[in-house]
Amino acid sequence: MIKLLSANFLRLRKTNLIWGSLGICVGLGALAALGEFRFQVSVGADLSVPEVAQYKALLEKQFFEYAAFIGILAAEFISLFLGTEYSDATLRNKIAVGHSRLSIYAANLITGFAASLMCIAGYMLSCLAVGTPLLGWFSKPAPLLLCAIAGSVLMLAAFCAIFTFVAMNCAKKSTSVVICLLGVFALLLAAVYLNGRLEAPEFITGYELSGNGEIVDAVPEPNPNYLTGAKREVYQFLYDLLPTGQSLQYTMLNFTDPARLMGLAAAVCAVFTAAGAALLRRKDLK
Amino acid sequence: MRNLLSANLLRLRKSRLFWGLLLLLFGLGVLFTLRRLADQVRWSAWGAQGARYYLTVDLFTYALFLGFGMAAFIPLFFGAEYSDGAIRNKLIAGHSRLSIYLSHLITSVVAALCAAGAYVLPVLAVGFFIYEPPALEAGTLALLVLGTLVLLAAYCALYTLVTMNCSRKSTAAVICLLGMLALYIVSGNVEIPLMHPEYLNWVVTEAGEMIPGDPNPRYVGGMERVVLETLQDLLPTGQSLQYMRADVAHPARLPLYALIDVAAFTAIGAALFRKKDLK
Amino acid sequence: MEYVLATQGLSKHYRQFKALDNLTMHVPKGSIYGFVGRNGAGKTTLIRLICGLQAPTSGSYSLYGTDFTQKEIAKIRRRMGAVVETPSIYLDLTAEDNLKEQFRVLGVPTDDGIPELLKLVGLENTGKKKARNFSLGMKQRLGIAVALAGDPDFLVLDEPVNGLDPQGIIDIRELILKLNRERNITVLISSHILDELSRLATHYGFIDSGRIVKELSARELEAACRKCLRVEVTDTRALARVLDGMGVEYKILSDGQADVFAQLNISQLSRALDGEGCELLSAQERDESLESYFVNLVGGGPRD
Repeated sequence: MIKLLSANFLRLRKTNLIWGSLGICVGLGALAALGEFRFQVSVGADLSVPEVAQYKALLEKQFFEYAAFIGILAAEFISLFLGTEYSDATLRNKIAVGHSRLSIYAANLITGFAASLMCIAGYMLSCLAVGTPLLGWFSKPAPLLLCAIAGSVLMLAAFCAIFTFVAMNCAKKSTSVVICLLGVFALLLAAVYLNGRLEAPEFITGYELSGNGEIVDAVPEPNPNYLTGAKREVYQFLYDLLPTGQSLQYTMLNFTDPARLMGLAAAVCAVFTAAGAALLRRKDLK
Repeated sequence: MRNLLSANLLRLRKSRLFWGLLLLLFGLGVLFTLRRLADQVRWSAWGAQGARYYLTVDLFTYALFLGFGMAAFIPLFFGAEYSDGAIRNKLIAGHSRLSIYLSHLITSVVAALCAAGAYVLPVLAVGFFIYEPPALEAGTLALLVLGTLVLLAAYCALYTLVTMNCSRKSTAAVICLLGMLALYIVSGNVEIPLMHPEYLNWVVTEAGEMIPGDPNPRYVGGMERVVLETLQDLLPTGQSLQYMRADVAHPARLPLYALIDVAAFTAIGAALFRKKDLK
Repeated sequence: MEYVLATQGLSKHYRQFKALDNLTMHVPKGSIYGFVGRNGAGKTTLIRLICGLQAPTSGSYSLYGTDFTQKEIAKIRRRMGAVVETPSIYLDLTAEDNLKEQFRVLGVPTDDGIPELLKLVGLENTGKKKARNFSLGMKQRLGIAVALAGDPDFLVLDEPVNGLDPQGIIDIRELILKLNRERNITVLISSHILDELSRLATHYGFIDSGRIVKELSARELEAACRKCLRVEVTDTRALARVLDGMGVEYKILSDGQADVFAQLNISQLSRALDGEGCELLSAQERDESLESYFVNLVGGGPRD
């Protein structure tokens, strides 16, 4: 296993893919902070007063953006990096010299996860380096921020488990690329839809004309789009379960039960890894 | 050229990928109409007002789905020509590179049109009972239909450009899919400044006329507006966003711009492909 | 005799298709085992099974006496090197990096052996060139180098000379002979280029439709390939009478030509023919080749 990891990391170092991805993350981190600063200046916010930036929590707003896109990046990276084992048939070299399929699977999962973590770290560092002088330091409580960081790392592990599942069980690299990327797009759309339904207000207030011709708020009526009872719980569960749902929650720093999110992410990771490794064990390789 | 086309269309008919694409689009069409149906049931307590959907709300969504769908389909379907070396057979048989390129483009447009048909079918069939007829003039509606179809061709032209000039199937797929996403982000951001209204409020005069009130400082006007609008109309993703909302400012302009896209992408792609060293 | 690889009733089915059908074979230690069969006979399937890429449908095999279901098989595999079908190399890495990669996979502590290995397969001058831009022969040789990275005792090569130029074929042959003689590596080599194989192999296994039709050593093969004398005479009827009288097996080819399957005294034959009024014009000794042996064995039936 350690041998496989060291081989994987050697190849990781030699591939342009990882350096390209890391470069994109570092660039995005700096751009996010800079963009926020320019936007605030354009709307006339006086950022020289520390309280302004603090009140708006500008740094955290940009700092956690990585949670929104890291899934897409991991999908691309993992399907390409691991798909090469099939397209160049190098998986054979590992199996023929006696490495178990389970350890190959685990080593590949860890490698993809480590590479994605590196990308996140690149984003965070560049966002902090550019953002702190421009937008000030974090203002939200440290436990919340640490929870979000820890949670998003687990969320990333869940993403990686899903993509490793696909890439290790699909013998065609281009097919796994398409499945992973389209899959993450579809999951993002699903998460946005779930979020929209969950955020619907309980009551809608219309307008009506009062007796003297003025427009006044009508008596609030229940919103048919508002989810109640078991249905709401199912929607909430799905929203918390999907790594893309979690990514929205961490990006917006809008979550209530971080322990539940982390537990679900760990469960997704475990289920996909167990299923993926079991499938690979039975697979006829060429 | 006709031989190439008939060969491609034969391969298309035999391709599980193609039938999968059709099935997917058909399924999405069913899903969307069912969703509207569920909405209608939910809102039924509000009377007719709550449950009105114009057909145009869902009809053109294929312009969004196929933007992604073709980004996956074209690299997988035509990338096989490189990975299996089939492109060599065509060249050796004496077909020109231009005709190979064009036959690929036309085949992918045919595939996209079939897929759009697979989506529209359930929307029209079930939707007949659900949707309100579109509140548009027949001419405008026809322009919208035409526009979305030419838009599909523009997407196909863009992905054909990438696929024919990238000899690795998986790399082509990544470029098409992520490129598509990047273009969406660009179009989404171009749209934001255009959304700001020109005036903050409207004032009713004593004569009962509406006149503009305070100007909106965030309104983008002048040359900048022209540039942004042109960019939005020119980019396929910008067009997609407009059709998806059924909020099209210039219905006559979009098909024309999409046609320009097709021509430009194809000219660039075919020129690059002509110079490419094949293995 | 100690066997590096032994299979018992090995079968592999893909749905209804029987790629391997109750196959039993033995690769003796120290041998160069030529694995002969038509395309689609099941050669590559067998190699995939013994490399652990696929599991057999039924039957079993053992490597160095260890059954494939035992846990220790993983350690035994460490002593194997294999090139299956196409060479398994990272196309985006250089030759050197490919070997570094495999050294990590094997847990070889230093990279010191890499230059020697590259030299062994003649790729020492490829520098920074990526494997993607190698010629077919270079890729094939790099694949063999990767297979040799773990200093294996047992080397499995699937069609190693496919697509090589004549010099490349000679190089690979020399390499295999050298590895076999100097390092005492057992080699299992599948091929349908019989002439090439006959210059190497010490043992043969003939496979057809997923079964071993015949397994024998090179010496036995030589004995089995019947010696034959092709004679030209003026009257084959006279020849037939003479040979019948001698109790010898023969085959008349034409009015003036016949093959005689025996070691004959030419003077005696000539004198006997003289008595029948027939002249012996010429006599040539011929070997039945590996090729005709193979064709006789598996027949000229429908292919694939």
